[in-house]
Amino acid sequence: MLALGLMVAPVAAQAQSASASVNATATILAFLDVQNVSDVDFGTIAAGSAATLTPGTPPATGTLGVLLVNHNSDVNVSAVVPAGLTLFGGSGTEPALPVTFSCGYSAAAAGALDGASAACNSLPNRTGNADGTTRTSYVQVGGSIGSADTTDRIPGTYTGSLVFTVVAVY
Amino acid sequence: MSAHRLLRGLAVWCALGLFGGSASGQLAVIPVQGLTFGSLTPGVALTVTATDAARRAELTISQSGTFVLTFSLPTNLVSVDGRTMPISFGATSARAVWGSGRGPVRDFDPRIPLALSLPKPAGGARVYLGGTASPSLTQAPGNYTATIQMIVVNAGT
Repeated sequence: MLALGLMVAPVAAQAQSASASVNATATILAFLDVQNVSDVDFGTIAAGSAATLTPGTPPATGTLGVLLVNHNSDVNVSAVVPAGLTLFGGSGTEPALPVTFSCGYSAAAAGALDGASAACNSLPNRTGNADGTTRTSYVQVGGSIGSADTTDRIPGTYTGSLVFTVVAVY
Repeated sequence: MSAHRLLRGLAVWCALGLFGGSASGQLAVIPVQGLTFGSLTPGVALTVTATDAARRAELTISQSGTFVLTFSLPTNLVSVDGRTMPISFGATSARAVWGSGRGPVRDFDPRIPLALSLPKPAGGARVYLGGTASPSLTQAPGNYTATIQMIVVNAGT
C-alpha cells in the first residue's frame, strides 16, 4: 500500500495547466467628406483701403470662404495658408498683397460660429456626435488685408491657395 | 531486503520518476499573434478564418501529452471609451495542428472544450483562432479590442 502511494505521486505531479492570452483588435474607419462651398473673396479694394472678412459675420461685400465637413468622429482641421496673395497673370516678381486669414467652425454655412475664430492652422479639434452618426460642420474662412498694403499696389486680381487638411481623430 | 531498504529504494525511484517527468518539459502556452480584423466598415461583418495566416490568432502548446483545451472568448470588442462591437465564433473558427505546424489538422469549435492528445516525439501543437466581428451601421469609429484566453489543462496520459 505504501509503494502504491509513492508510485502515484509522480503522476499527480504532472497534472498541470497553463494559459496565455492574445488580443483581438479591429478598427472602424471614420467617415469623412470635405467639400469646398465657397472661396474667400475680398471683393474690390480701393487703393489705401483695408478689407476684412470676419468668420461668423455675413460680410457686406465679398464672400467668406466655406468648407463643408461631414464627419462621424472628432476631426482635426489644419491649414497651410499664404502670407500674401500674388498678382494673377503677373510675372511673379510683383510685390505680394499681404493677408492674414482666420477660421472658425459653425453649424451652418453662414451665421454665428460655434466658439471663437482662430488662425486657420491652429483651430481646435471639432467634435463629432460621439455616437457614430454623421455630423455636418462648416469651416468659415475670413481674413484681413491692411490699408497700408493696398497703397501703391499694382492694380489687378491677387490670388492664393489655402490648403486644408481634415483628419479623423479617434 | 528490509522494510527500511525497500522504502529508500522506492524513494529513489520516485525521485528519478519526478525528475524524468520534468525533463520532458513544463506545459506552456505561448501567444504568437493576436486576432486582427483590421479596418472595418460600419454595417459590414468581417470573418477571419483559422486559415488566414496574417490575421488569425495563434498560440502554441509546448508539451506532449493529453490535454483539455478551452477558450475564454469575448462577446464584444470594446473601444477605449466603452463602446462595444459584437464578436462571435463558430463551429470551425479554431484549428489545431499537431507538432510544429506540419502535422495532422483538426478544425474545432472554440466555444466547446477540446480533448487533445499530442503524442511524442513531435509533441506540442499550434492552435489557430478566427472569428467574426459585426459592426453595426452606426458603429462609432475607433479602435476596438478584447482579450482571448486559451487554457490548457494536462489531463494525464
